[in-house]
Amino acid sequence: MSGVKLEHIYKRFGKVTAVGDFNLEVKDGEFVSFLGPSGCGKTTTLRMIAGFEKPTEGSITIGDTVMSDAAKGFFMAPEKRGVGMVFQSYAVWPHMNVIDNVAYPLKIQKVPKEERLKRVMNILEVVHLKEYAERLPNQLSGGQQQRVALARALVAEPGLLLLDEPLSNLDAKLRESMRFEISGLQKKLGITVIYVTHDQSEAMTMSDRIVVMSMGKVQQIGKPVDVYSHPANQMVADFVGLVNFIPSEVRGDGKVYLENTDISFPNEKNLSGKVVLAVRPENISLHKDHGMIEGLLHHHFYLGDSIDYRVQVKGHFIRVIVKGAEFGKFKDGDKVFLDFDKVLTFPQQ
Amino acid sequence: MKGKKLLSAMALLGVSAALIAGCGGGDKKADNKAGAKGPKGAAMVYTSIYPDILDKLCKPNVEKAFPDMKVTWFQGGTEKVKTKIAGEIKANKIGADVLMVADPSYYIFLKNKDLLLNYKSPQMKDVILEADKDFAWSPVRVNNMIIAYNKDKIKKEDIPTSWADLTNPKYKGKIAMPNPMLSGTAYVAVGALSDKLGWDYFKKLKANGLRVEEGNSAIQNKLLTGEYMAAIILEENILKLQETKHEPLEVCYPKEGCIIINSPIGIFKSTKNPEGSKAILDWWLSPEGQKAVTAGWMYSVRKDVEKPHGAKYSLAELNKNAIKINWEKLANEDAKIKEQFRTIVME
Amino acid sequence: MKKSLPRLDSKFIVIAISVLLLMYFIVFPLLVLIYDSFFVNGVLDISNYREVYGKAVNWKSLTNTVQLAFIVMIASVIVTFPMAWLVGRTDLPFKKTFRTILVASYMIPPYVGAIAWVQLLNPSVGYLNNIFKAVFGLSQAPFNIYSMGGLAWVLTLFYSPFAFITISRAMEKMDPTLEEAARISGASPLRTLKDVTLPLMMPSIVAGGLLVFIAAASCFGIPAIVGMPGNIEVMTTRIVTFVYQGDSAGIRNATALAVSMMVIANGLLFFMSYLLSHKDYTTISGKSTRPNIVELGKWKPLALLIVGGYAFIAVILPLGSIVMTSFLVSMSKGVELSNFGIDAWIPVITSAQYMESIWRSVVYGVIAACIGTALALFVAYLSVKTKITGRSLPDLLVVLGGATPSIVISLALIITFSGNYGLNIYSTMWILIVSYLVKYMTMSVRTIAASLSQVHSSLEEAALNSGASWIRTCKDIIIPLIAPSIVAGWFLIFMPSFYELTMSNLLYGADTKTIGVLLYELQTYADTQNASVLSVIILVIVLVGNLILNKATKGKVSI
Repeated sequence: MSGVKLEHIYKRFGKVTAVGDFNLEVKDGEFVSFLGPSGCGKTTTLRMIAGFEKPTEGSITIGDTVMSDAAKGFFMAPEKRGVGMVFQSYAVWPHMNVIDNVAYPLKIQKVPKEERLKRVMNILEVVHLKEYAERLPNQLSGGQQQRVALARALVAEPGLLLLDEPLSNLDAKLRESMRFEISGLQKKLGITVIYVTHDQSEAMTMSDRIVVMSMGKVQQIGKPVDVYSHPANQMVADFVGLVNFIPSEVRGDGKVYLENTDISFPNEKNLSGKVVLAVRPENISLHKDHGMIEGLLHHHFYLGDSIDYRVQVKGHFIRVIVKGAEFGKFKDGDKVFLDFDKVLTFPQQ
Repeated sequence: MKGKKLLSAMALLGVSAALIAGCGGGDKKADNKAGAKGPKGAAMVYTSIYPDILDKLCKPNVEKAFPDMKVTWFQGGTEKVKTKIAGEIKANKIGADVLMVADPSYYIFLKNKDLLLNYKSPQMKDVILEADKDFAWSPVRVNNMIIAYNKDKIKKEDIPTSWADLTNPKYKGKIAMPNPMLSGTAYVAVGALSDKLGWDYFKKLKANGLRVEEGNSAIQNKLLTGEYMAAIILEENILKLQETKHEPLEVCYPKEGCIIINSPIGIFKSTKNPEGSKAILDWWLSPEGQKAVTAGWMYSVRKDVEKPHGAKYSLAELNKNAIKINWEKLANEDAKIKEQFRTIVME
Repeated sequence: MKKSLPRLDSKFIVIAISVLLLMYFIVFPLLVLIYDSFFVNGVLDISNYREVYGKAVNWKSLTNTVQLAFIVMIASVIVTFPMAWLVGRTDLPFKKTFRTILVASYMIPPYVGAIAWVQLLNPSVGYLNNIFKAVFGLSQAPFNIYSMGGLAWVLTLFYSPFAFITISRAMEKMDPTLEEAARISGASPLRTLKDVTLPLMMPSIVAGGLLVFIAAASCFGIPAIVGMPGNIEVMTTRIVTFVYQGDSAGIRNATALAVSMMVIANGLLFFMSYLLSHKDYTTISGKSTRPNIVELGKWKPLALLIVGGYAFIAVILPLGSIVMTSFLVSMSKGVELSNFGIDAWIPVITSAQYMESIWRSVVYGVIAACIGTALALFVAYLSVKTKITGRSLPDLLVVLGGATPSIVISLALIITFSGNYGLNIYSTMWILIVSYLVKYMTMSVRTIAASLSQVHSSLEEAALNSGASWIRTCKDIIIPLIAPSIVAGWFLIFMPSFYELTMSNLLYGADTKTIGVLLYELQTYADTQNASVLSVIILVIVLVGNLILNKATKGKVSI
């Protein structure tokens, strides 16, 4: 079992800084997700932990072992790091059957054949692939190949498992069930997991902590609930969950006013000048005849468990999601009133 | 969509159409009505004469001599020309009207197959060498097989003087000859030397490290670089290098006699233009044609044409001491002689 | 094609036409010759087979040939694989330059290169031997080029580019995460190479190796120049011996011998494809892979030394020798300043004849390469991507041509295409082009088939599904995906066609003299120096052409 420590990690490709000043300490047995849009540097960081990329600066420690330290020119090859990894493209070897694929890490460790087979069958059972053991990868579905890759990454019982967008090539249903399988497995085996994804709901459901990244920089590190309810900046608020941004300003009295209105909110962060007000759709309530702000219901979608409204307020569209709302209560074109709850403010970028 | 599919299919058809349209190129232009005397029509000559001589002396002069006839030339080494003709015989479409290659025994072969037209040229009266008794072929040029050496790379006392000298251990591993399997003139040399000195001679050469090369040019280069001290080669190669490039190669006319190969010219029976072909043959035997021969450092067959530039002896002088060659035997025992050489020297 | 009649769509029309053209122009002439070797006037007569196979020397040449081709194949793959990896997958400096250099030996006409090596390594006055003797105080020359080893050495240097082109293309197309998965599983880079890279590359390695085998076995020029002085006979020299007899018995004997080479090449191909039939890995997936460049780190100087050393020995040294030879005034004088001059260049560059022939050769080479690549694409597609019974037959038959010595091919073409079988293209440019196709299409088909087998069919299906016709799919999807192989396949036909000499020399007509014919003339009648001049010109043309292509396509397309 091993924790991971990344200190002042930089990765530059020529003049482009792919990752800048990344600091993180992952605790033993923790499940941490790197979340961010594509190109944010999350995969590069993961590959640095795996040893496929060499950090330009900084050091990486897994467990008690320093894996890479740019200052000392020290770098440990990926095969010596003893971590498991699942690739986005699965990277299941087409010339080996399922058993051979999964057994490979044990074969490298020179585990005796009988024990090897036993452990392979055990892990195949865990990923529900026992009956496919003799098949070649091209006889397996995408989901099954994915589980072969997972089994192969886990069979040597690594202290650290790295997953690089492992579910992105699967269909929605399978993706959801795999989420639970992976986090179930992680709890059962008690291993440390670093999970790269651009899908915030994956990150939210599985992780102990989330590292939100953008443009090669860490934006926020925190528990899912913190990241969601207290996003560190506008980017995090935008990327994690849904949010309405409304241009606002701080006036002489120090309060935050919606632009061109007299509607004000407390200025908790003591900002000044132009600011952006953020409010999540589910934190807005909708009323027929009273409320803070007046608007016009433009259109709405029925989602079964909730209704998704678009309300026009002073030239802006504001998205409102009402859970368990009564269908037909509001019609398109109706005059409506909105109340904001849990409002966040950010300086204008 | 359908149209596109068809179009693309048509494109490929187009390729095949183009291929088919390209055929018929073998035809000869055969309309020349000008009233002037002299041969008309078209004629094709297959020859192994050197390409620069062909371009400088033969093509323009023949054109001048026969303005009403379209003469085309195919130039290639003797063996390649023979191969081309072998294919044509098989296809029953001999493309040549006149044939002029180095290997005399090949003409005997062709004559035996009844493929040659008998023709005695009026020019024969000035030719000092004998033609076929039925005039299926006539001698047109003489190649001379000799021993050559590089005077800059050999000690005076090491200069060879006879064929037998080559068996001397001082030349060990540094003597060469062209492969008789691949070169007709080398084959004649093997036939001549084995008759004159016996197969034992080749056994001794082999024991002395004789190397067999693909052809004359490889040998001349290796004489230049000094890789070989002495080698059996055609005299014309050496004379040409002496004259054009001032290379230090020298000819040894062996005491036992040179190997004189009177290369013939002949006309195929299948010719559609016998008169034109005869005129070309006559031209080759004329002083003008023979000057083209000596310009290639080969000997003329006429008594009234000078020996090639740089040559020490005239043909008549060489002939006095030439090794006698049994042409019939060379023609009939081709496979046997080559095999014998191969087992003795090349195994 | 009888059962389960396929829809008569453009795909099958195009493939059918390609196969028909292939059969008629490439396979048929050889079959005529083979038939003639068995039958005389319609009666079975195998006395020629008895004669040639009754002789020990022919068996000896056969074993020599197989042994030699095998050694050359293995050596080429062993040498090429690490080079391809270093050039394609690492941060080796000057990669692009090395890539060009490593295939450059393919651009030197083999006979010219062979002469260069003879100059360098002959036992009596070879430059390198002399240097070694002087440096190490040896009394005897350390190397003798006129030996089996010398022959294998020269053949390997000349034909390893076949393996290099094929292997490096496939290497660059491989999904790097497959290797990374092995590394993260604990395998060292070497172990990864053995367990993952090599098995996955096997189809390409085999394809490349086979090309080398066929090329080495059917080569005449190099064994004639290097082997003959050492009394080493191979099949081609024996076959040419028979052909040069100039009579029909000689031709029948030659064909009887040539048949065994066709059988060996086809047998080998068949065996290899059987071996690999279950190992057909589709490695270009729909997912894009980023190039994964391995950092060599402290190994960089060593790698540079190895690749640089090989490039120097294999290419720079003989090339330098050729260039130097072209500037020598007299071959009999040593390498000294007073002996340098442009004497050998003057007759070549001042003659209009040469420039005309060079242009002609370019045109014929381009036509042959375009037709050949198109046919190769469809034939490869048929054999790799369809399920029609007998799909691999045309592919196999193409090998007949590649494995047959050039001189035998020219004979077959003279017999077949001078009007006896409906078409008379004798003495036209088309018979030259056909001869180039017969001889060199194998190279193109093998290269394209190897990379086509790596394209997942879903990519093609996606295009068909988008409403594209099959031809359109070829143009928009398949060809761009395997573009590097198509370029390579094109060059593999163009280059040897451009300077081809044996067949051109027999098949050229009054107006179709090519550069190869001139080279042959220079080589046999003039001297090595003029031939060297022409080779240098050819090389410059090819290198400049490659450079222009490279610049014009922003580095996407080059050899």
